[in-house]
Amino acid sequence: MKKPETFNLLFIALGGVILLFLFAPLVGMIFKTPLNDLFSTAKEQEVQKSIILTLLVSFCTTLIFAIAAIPLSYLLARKKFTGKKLIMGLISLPIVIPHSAAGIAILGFISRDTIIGKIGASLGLNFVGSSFGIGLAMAFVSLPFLINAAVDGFLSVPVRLEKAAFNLGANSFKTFFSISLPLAWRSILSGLILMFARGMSEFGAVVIVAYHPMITPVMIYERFSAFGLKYARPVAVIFILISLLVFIVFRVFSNKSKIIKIRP
Amino acid sequence: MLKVQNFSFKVNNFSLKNINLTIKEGSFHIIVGHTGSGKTLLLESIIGLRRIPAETIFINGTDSRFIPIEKREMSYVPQDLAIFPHLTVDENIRYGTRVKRNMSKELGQLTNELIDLTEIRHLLNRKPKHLSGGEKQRVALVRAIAAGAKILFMDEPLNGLNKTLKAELQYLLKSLHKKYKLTIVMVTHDLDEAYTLAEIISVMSNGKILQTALKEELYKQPSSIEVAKFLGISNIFNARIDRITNDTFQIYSFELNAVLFMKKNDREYKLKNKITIGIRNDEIMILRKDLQKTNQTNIIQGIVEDFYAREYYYVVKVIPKNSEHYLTLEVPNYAFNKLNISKQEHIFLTLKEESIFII
Repeated sequence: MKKPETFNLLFIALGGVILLFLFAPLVGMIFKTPLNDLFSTAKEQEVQKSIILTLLVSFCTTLIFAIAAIPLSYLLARKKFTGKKLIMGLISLPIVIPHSAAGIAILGFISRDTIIGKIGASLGLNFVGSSFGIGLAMAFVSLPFLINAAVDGFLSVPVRLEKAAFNLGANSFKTFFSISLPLAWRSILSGLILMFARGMSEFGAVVIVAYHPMITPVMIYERFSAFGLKYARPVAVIFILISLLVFIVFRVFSNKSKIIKIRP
Repeated sequence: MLKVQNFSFKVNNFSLKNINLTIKEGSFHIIVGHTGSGKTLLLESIIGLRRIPAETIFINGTDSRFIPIEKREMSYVPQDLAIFPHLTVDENIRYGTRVKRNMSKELGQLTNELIDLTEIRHLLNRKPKHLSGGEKQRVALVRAIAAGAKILFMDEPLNGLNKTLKAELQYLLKSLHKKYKLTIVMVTHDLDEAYTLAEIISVMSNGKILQTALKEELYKQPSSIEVAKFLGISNIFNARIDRITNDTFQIYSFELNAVLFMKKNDREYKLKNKITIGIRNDEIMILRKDLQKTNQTNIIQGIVEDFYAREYYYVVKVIPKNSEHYLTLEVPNYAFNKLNISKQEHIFLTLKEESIFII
């Protein structure tokens, strides 16, 4: 009976070290920030606008890119084709490359002298230094989280259920919307939340594509480099608390909606 | 209406070999074979779940490859039932009609009838995870029929159920087949189930269909030693035709060292032709001691070597006089107990002329 106790104690101790490492800086930062500073910063219009912009752009980017990313994930989960492994590897690439490098890659792709940039300009859209550019930079670094989660979700749906739906007279679209998507929904939702969270916390790629309009991670950096830690800290604390709140709301929502149901 | 013609198909290391099969409208056709004989692969090929070669499977004369799976009017109850876990029983059952937007009054009425017939009305709002094995089988069955298909395919649908439930569902299947004049194609490894339900049986082994026949014909005349063995016939011996009369053959079995009389069949045989005969285990009878006479035909004298009990009968191994081969008998429990047989006992066996067949 002694062995399991030692085992548990050791694992709890090791786990505790990690938890301490993760939470101590955050908790320390929150407690080091005077409430007065926190309230006055929260009242600043510049800060409010920045937080709203960050959340809104990340949210819209997640929704817009999901429209194409979810079908791509389905294909990757279900179809066998040459180069599939390569594509899967490429999709995860933004996770491993430095995000400043990702920003430079995006900038090279959307700047005014590129085809995309020119097409955008002809439509009156300027990607660099705009919300569109911020969205693209956020999407570039956060899409792998959605795609990987959605692929796992679709893989967990037994093919036999899709075959049964076909056999009962459903075509590919109906089968996808009434069987595959609802059953993979939990993983997809998880992926959407991760993508949203990753997008709104992005700094490296966004700062290269669009310093202005200023999203909150850029604002935190700007205040830190220009005015120091004391001035940057309240913004960081407010953003962390709001992010935490949004994250909790999403998690509660995702746990409640275990499976979406789409009537065939 | 459904024809499989010279169909050969390879998947990994397994192949279906030159399958020929016709499914008649309104028939209850069972494909029976051991696990791994290719039954499921054949079923999936017919239904359209596999990419098959051209001109091999025809639905109403059209190459099945040109008919999309959702337009084939075939329903399939797979072995694992594939009930949609996120839908209620009611939503599962009505899935077929909803996706096809076929809300006809007749189909609605049929669905309601089926729900009552299978006694699942009280389960309609439940999720599949709250159903028992038998309830799931019923739901899968109703869902398949309620989709309005013309042919119902089932892959071992009664597998894993207890005996009582199995018998109930077998009865239900028979009634549904009769009431709605359904064409049913079912695969099973259970020969008893095949005999209970089928009108036509196809015996499948190692990717080949060995024989397709009405079940009575299959019982009377297995076409090969493999089929005979699959049907549980243990008594397969070599023999010689010694005499031919109008309706009987007099034969001599080498292994049994016995002269036997059997009914002539349609095939042409000549005197001294060497043949292989089969004798059905359950049609060899042990003569009561007071009725034992050696001057009757088809009497075999022997010694009881061994016996053991099965569910409804005893398997008795008898070595005929001056022979080294076993005759295997299946004696009903009540008869066995009445005869009070013991090991090494000398007994007399008798069999009808119809119980012997040429393979």
